[in-house]
Amino acid sequence: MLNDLIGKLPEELQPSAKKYAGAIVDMGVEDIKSWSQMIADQDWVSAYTTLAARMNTEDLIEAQREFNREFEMLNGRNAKLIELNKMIVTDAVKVGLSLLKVNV
Amino acid sequence: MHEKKWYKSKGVVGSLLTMITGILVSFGAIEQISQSEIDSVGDNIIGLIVAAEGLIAFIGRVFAKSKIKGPGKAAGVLLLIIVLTGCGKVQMSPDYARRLEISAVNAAELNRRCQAGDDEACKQGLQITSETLNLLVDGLHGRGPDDVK
Repeated sequence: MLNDLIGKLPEELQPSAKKYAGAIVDMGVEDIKSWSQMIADQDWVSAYTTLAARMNTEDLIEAQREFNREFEMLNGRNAKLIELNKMIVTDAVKVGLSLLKVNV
Repeated sequence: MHEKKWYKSKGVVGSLLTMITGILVSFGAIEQISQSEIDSVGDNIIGLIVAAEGLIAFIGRVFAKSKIKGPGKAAGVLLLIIVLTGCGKVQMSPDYARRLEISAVNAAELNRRCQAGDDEACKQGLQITSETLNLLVDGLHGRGPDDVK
């Protein structure tokens, strides 16, 4: 059941949740219920906040280091998309100008 | 049925972009990108077209006496697209936004521990969150890891 719950979390949150599965099991019945409800409601921030409070400092820093690596990767993709955006519009403008030349 | 111009259709623009990116990827011009990212580019382009059309219609209303002819109108649209392209940036993806929210949770938790006397949370926590902020600033300016800072 816990594995099913963890499987419903976004991909980037699953490693921490798997590592701290024991801490989740150790939570009281009411806390587990409320954590499950957060996942059902897709309230990832609250679900992760509950988890982060139980992580040791070293793991918390390592989790953020991993997020930073992902930010770097997403920034790279974003930069390429901006380039692609510019390229598409530039090409469209070039085609439009060529059409104008033909019409004038 | 309400008629919609083909270039305002998300389906048509999205399919065209998927084809274009597919060709660019196969020729090695760009790296593989996800469908959601292609869709966000498509949304920007449709937004630009709609904004340009709206402005043209507005200008047409204001200057109704001086009729804008074919090529002139096309030139106006092109000029607006050029101007608007400068303002068009790729929006923050849901993946990025979620990581940002979770990073804020990490920073708050590290700060709480630092205030409670955890040295590691203070030293390493401040260093890692400072790196996070710099990465967010890079993202804000559309800079990738390969760009010279």
